[in-house]
Amino acid sequence: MQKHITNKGKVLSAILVVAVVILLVELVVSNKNDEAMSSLHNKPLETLSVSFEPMVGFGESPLRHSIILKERADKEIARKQAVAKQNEVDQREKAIYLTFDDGPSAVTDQLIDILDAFQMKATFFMIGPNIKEHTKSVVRMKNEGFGLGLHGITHEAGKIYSSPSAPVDEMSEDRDILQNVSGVRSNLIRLPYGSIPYLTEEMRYLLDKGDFKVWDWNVDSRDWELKDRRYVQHTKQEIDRYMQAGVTPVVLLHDKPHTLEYLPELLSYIKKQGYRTKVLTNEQPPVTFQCEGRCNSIS
Amino acid sequence: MKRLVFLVMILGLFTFLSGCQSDHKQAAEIHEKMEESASFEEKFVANQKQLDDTRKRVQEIYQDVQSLDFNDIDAIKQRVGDHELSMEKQQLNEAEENFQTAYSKLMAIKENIELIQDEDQKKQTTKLVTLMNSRKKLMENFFDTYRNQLKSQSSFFEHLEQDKFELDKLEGEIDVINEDSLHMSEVVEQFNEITEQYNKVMIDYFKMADIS
Ligand SMILES: [Zn+2]
Repeated sequence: MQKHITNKGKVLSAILVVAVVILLVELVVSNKNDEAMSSLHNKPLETLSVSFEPMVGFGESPLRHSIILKERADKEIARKQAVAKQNEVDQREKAIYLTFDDGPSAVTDQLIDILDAFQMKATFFMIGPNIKEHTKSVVRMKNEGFGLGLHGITHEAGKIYSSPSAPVDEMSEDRDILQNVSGVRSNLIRLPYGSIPYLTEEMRYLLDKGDFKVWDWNVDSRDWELKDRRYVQHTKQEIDRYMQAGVTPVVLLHDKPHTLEYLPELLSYIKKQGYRTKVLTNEQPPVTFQCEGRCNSIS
Repeated sequence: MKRLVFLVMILGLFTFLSGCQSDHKQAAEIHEKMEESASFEEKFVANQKQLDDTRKRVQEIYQDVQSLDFNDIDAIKQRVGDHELSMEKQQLNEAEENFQTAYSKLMAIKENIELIQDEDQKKQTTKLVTLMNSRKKLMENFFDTYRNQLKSQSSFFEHLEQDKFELDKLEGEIDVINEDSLHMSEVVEQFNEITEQYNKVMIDYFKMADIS
């Protein structure tokens, strides 16, 4: 019995020895793995230290400026041709364009009454805040088929020419105001004091991109300067001079009390001469002063 | 009876030990595969650095061209970055190839993950695969955007070469190029964040594998 147990003990001891050996082998193997792994611990993936710089500076670059001048010059050729074509049509009709700036005002209704009395049409270049103040007059203009145009928001040279985008910004705001009040979306603009000398090529380019048509004039009534009957005399002469030269007059006038005072005299002369007043439209090629090197930034 | 209990204990010890040994074996294999993958990642990072340098050269060319008048057509033609752009394309292809290889090498650990018995280790390694997949998605987006940008850049310079000085088109191309740059910056930022997470998970996993 004793011997039997001893034999069993031997077998068990043998199994134990084998188990211990296996355990030791395991430990050695796992240690080896540990060593191998510790080297990987020190090798994380590198993050990317790269940058993506934007292409900046094109806005003021000589390249862009030279392209603008070229595009503007090409556009000018096309515009002049279109103006000449329109002029032929207008000449046959003995057409004349009357334009009134700086309104609407407290006297706009009177002004419309006078025009109505002579059965004449005109185009109004209006200032945003004034449009808001005299909405009824604007709606009346629209209903009676007058031309509706834009004259900006501030009417201050120091503001409307203060940056390349300032004119287009003011005109866009003005356009929205007019559209809200009248439902008419007008692209006709006149710059305060005219487009020379402060409307630079860059500003013209941006206005063009905004679909705006820059209207200047060829007959300055000088109503703003003379403030009495002399402006009528002066304007009559100028109109005749342009008509004789075969150029359709685009007359600059102002929505001001002293202009209205002598306006009937001017209108009756126009009627007597058999001229026909027309309104400006978005589609019409505009009469615009040309820079020809005379335009410079105000700042 | 005693003998039976003893045998069961021994067998249990064996199973435990062989389980450990199997997880160790998987860890070792995973380590090897990751190391192989990482070697391609290194190449990929190097490619990205080359691309970074080439981009800087293209920027210089762009600045150069901008300072000219469009009438100086010959000067512009001499400067446009055809050579640099085709170099960039090539470097981009290499970067993509290396990243793709790194990715597939890593994906090979999936078969090891299946054999891991320890739940935590399994979880951790599965996270590695998920993170690598996120990195891949981001890089695919990055490569697509980059190719798009190179197309815009080529057509920008082509327009200049062919005397097509239409401002609308040129400005439109610059806008697209800049949008793409911004987008790629954001993608790289996300990519780096995930790479850092990946590194952390990797370290944690190998710690786990050591302990068991
Ligand atoms: Zn005015």
